[in-house]
Amino acid sequence: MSRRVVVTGLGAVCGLGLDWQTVWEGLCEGRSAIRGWQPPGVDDFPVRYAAPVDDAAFAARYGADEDPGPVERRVRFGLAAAGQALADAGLAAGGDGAWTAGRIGTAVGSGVPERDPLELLPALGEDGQPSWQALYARRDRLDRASGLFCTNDALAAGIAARHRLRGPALNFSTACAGATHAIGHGFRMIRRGEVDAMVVGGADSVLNLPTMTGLHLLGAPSTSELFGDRLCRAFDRDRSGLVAAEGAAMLVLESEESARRRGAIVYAEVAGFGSSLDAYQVTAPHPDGVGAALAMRRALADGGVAPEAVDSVNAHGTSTPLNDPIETRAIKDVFAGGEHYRKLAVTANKTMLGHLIAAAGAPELIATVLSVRDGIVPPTLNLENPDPACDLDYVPDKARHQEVSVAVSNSFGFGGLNASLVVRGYDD
Amino acid sequence: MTNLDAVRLTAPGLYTAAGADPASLWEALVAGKDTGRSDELLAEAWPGAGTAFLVDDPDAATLGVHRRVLRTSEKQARMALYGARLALTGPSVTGPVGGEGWGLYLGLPTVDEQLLRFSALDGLRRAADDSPGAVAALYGREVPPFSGLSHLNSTAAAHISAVFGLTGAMAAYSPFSDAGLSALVDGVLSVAEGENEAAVIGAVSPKVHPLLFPQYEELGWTGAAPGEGAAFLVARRGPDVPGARDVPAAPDGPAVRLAGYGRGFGADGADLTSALTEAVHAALAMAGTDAAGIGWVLPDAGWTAAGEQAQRAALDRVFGPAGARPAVAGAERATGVLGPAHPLAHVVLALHGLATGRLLADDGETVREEPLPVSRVLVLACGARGQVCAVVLEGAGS
Repeated sequence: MSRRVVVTGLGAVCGLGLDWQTVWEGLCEGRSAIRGWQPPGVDDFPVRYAAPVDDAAFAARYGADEDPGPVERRVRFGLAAAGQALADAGLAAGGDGAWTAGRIGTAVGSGVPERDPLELLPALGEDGQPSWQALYARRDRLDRASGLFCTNDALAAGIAARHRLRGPALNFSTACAGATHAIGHGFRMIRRGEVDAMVVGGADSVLNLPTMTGLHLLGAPSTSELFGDRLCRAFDRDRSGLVAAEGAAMLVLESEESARRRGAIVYAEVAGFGSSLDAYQVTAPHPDGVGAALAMRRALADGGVAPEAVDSVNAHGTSTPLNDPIETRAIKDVFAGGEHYRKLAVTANKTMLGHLIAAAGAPELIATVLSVRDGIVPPTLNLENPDPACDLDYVPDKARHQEVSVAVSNSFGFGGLNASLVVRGYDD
Repeated sequence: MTNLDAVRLTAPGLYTAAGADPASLWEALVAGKDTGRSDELLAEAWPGAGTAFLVDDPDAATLGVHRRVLRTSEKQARMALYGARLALTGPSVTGPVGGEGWGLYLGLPTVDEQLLRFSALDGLRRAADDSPGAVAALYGREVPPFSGLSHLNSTAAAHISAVFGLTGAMAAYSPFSDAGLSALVDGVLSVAEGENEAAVIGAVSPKVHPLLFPQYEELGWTGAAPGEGAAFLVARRGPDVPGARDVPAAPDGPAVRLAGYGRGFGADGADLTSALTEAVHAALAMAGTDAAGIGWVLPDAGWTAAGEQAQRAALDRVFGPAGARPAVAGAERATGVLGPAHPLAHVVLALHGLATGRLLADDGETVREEPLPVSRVLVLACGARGQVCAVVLEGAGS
């Protein structure tokens, strides 16, 4: 069995907005969610910019929802985005619990557990000496919503339990490619007939002191103060590292037959998925972009799409010194035939969204889907002095109205774990 | 086009407290060998957690890597790398390994380790009394440089890929036992659907650490002894796709294939039992068989009471009365609970049984070896929050 797979529902919660419509509008208008940021109560943390979710606005909008219990921020964001996407798809369970779309599962990428910086303090006993016995005796003082109690499957299981989805509930752990892997595998499961629909995407929140300290020690986030909230400068020569963000985005993927049977609105078709490994270093991507190119090639082949048919690439575009020229090289390699790369509109959504880490591929796929639907390529912001090694058309500053029949979305995870998706307009 | 018939499971690599190969685990189970260790640290840390099935942390020489690899990995990644090495350097793998046709599918635990050493806690207390800024400064000083890496469980995939030159399609799942079987299912599918020529499939346990136990307790842990280890194998396309059932036996035994699978979710109680029952029925149907066609069942470890109960009830529903059902036995007595690696260790054990025509039966007191009456084995996974998976493995000549 091989079925066409279409997108019928969208949901997003991030610094740019608390629903997909606001996020898309922001991307098209070139608004940035990046602003000055510090861990709570801290004023000299070396990483000074991020793209956080507006807590007050989120609480006002979603606080009245059923209390999910003690869960991490990423799970709260993910549950909200999944609820949005299911509602947007017009999917509902009948009285017998059966879904109108048939068998539904979920697949998400959700990063690393959120750590509480003070989680080990209960290990200091009455005598002031640290011990595991003391931690055991005081375990009721530990925060159930963070640190030791967090596991990576909480979001997938939470979505499945809340919406009574009986299909597989999978969590993908492929670093910054997690959401794209989840979406790709959800797509494949529908295509081969294992399920009829999937809630797919990602959620992450690294904006806590322990995780940001770890990322900073790896040299991943920019510590520059030169450009203020214009710090995420993908493909610019003055780029200096990623700008971290938090949030979630979810899509409902569905078999074409199910969507047609329900009369669902179809945003676009997911046509192909490809993944690869760099087999290079844990701390750096392959300098020739071999793995990145392989993922794109496989996604195109998987969808039966010729490179010449692609109009736009939603780049991983992290604004790190290594990624951007390497991704450029990979794009030029994949689309070398007839120098088609010169015709591509390449965009870096992270210049507005920030880097949602494991979730990053999900809002970027939503942008890719809507780009195909609406014929708009969002801009790459802050590209003021292009790096000579980054010499493609990155749609600087302002969104471009153009026909986008087919688009590719890239996610390249730390350690060389790569994934790409191909989206095309749906024509029934 | 999905054609599970065309894919063979081979090259078992197993690293557990019972040894570094499937035969050692088999023998340890039959002999009732005590492979657990009393661990003073665990006993002090968490009442009831005094015994664990630990493995030695592989060193650079064992792993065949430069010492610098150890700096950017933690024990879980090293156990995984060793499991992959056992599989890929064993006698079953002939010809070159690696390249664009070789993919990687992993089941990984969440990494739970201390960000701060105990020696820094007094400073943390003072910093907490002072200001959040002081806490941030202490983290900046005390957190080890590669902690960000070691908390990323997918680091294991990066290491295996780099060491063996795998650049094929990949995926990694976490954090509980269903992750191991999902890696198996999707790894086999990647070969069956032509995405990879071969897929290295593996899973690794968490490293046993006192920080695990609060989480375990919260998730309904029964107190079952934890274990450490890794289980790996390779899925490869048979030489003759249409007639794959006639593929000659591999050098180390008859060819084995994934004949069917089912996966789903059940939140709790009856729902969990139903989900597991449906997953088993789906796996049997895909394998073109029924309950009578199964010779041996390897259930998931009894890690939570809900999971244990659901597995018992599901097996009752599928196989009927106890007297009529196939032998049921797993590896837990000699490995402890291996998390994502548990069901994959069972798959490796099943490969050994299918190759030798033997099974293991557990009467509650001892494990005994018997002839395998039917060349099909059922392996179950029951994740901590309701994720379930069932696979049927079949001797390819059956």
